[in-house]
Amino acid sequence: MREGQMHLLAGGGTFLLTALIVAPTLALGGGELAAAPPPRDMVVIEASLAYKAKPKSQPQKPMRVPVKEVVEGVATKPDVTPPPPDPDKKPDDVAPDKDWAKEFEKYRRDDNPDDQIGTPDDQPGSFDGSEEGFDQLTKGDPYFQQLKKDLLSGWEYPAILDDAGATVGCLHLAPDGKIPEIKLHTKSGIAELDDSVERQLDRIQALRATSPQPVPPHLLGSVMEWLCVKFDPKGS
Amino acid sequence: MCQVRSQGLLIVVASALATVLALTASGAPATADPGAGGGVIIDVTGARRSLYPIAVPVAVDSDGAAAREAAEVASFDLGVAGVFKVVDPSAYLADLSAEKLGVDVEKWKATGAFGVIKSKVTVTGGDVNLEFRLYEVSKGAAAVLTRVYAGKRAELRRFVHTWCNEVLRYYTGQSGFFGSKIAFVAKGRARSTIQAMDFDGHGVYRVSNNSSTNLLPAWSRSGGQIAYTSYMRGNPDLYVGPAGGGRPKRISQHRGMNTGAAFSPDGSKIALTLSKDGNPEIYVISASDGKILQRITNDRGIDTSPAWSPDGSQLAFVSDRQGGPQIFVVSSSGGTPTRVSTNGSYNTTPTWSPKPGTRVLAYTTRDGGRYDIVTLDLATKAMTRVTQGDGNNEEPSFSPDGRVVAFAKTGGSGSGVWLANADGTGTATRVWSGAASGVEWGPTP
Repeated sequence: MREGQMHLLAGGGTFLLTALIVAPTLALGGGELAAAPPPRDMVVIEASLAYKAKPKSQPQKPMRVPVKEVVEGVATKPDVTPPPPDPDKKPDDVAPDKDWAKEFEKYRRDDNPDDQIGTPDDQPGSFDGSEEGFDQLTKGDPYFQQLKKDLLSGWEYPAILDDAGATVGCLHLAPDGKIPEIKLHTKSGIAELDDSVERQLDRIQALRATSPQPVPPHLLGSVMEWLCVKFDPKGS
Repeated sequence: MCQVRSQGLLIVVASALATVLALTASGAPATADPGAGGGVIIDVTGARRSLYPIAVPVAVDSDGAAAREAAEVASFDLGVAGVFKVVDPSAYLADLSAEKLGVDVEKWKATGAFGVIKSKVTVTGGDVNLEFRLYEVSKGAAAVLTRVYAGKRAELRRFVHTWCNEVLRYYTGQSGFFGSKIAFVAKGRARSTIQAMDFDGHGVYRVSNNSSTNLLPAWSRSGGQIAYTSYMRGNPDLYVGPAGGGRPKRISQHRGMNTGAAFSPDGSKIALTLSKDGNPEIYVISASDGKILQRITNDRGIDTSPAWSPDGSQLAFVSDRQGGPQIFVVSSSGGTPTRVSTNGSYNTTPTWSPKPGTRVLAYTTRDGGRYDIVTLDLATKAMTRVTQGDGNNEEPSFSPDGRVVAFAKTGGSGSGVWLANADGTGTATRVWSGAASGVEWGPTP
């Protein structure tokens, strides 16, 4: 048998077999399709046939209320309900991620005196390099402000004398506010100026002896030893 | 290996240094030993600039009356100098008898004194011997200035004035005005006379000796002569006479006013007001013969009260050419005057400060119905009140060093001749009591 005859015989057999299977199926199902119920009835049938099984649950751990962590030293407020929004308040129309430094930079003036605030001068440990003082120890502390005021108050230096210098004097400030010891630390080279500083230290020592101002507890660690003061007769 | 070690050491040292610097710059707490690296945490700047406190105790171990007089003269001189504050004797803590001519530094410091003047005054017959010592307590117990004066007892005041000039020169490098004289007009009911006295009011004497009205004295630069206007011959003519009194010479007798004389700094010329042509104008005449050298102003307004600038290049004067009397300045060689006073509607009697390097005028200004003395810095336009709220104060004249102003006061604390610091500080001092005008301070002898 030639190869072509074998292909023809196989194809005819396949067709015949397919026909034997499909023909009875078409004959039985074609009538049912013609008499099919409306879609609504189909839904009802499907619903009646649905099987509702209870879902199986995995073994669970018992639930616990989480404990709120409190950081020591940080003030906390009790939980409160946030106030209702103010209907008169205008909505914030500025994007929260705006670069403010860049925004304000365009308003910056070269002669802005605020630029100087907080800029340390060239005096080591200067008390008032700025309005608040950049010194961490003395920064805006009322006790030191008063001490400085007392040190300046009543300090007189004759106008006819040389003022091109500065004298450093030191005082020992006791916790009770009295000044048990004073001393000149660095002389200016101008005898009269050193003398005037010595007199001023004497004066404040006497002043604090009669009306001492106890050192606040938070400064005790800082001022129990020598505290030095630079006296410059010239104005800043 | 060695190189690596060196680098490591450098890093350690640099780190330590940086730490020290950081601690210092951040105002680290005070150190236990102030000598161990800083500890300076407070800057106190701007002491109140005060007068120099100086003590002038009466000499001990001396002639009592002469010693008291010496202390009084010295205290007054230094008290009005404009730079000193004489310490109240009641504050003295030192034992003067034990100290004698020396000082107990700590005790004088405790009184607040920066300087102390000690003296010894010995009178023998009609002679006097004064030994002075100046101490600066900050420099210890050794005197920083010592002088001895010897002469007639009558010269005691002059010796003390000379000593005080030395003291002022020691501190300021400039001579004082102690020993100088002030001329003024003592106003009487029927006449007014030219008088002169020591600047402290001592030794008043008459310069003019006539029964007429005498006005506006002016010292020659040497102090040997005084020019003044007198009606002794009917017309207000200008006379120049010996400063010590004596027969004057009439040097300007033009018809009308010959008033308001002012000697030029070199003494060769006199600026004054002449009304010979009807309207008062400023002229410059020869100081020797009264010949007119130049007419300075030519205006329909009234021009009066000329005053030479210290270098002789300018004249200040009063003119009402713009309404009320105001101060103008013009070149001493003539030209267009410039108005310099801008306060109020009445400013008169200008006078220049002789202080070198300054262009300052003092004049009388009317403010709220009262007359007061002000100074005006022509360079900065800054005005300073010298008097305020105490009577009427007029006709200022600077001391030879420019620190003090003499003026005539009417009412208030008392009429007379007064002295006040030209910078407006301190309190005024009366040196002569009575109705006065035309105050003019003479040169330092």
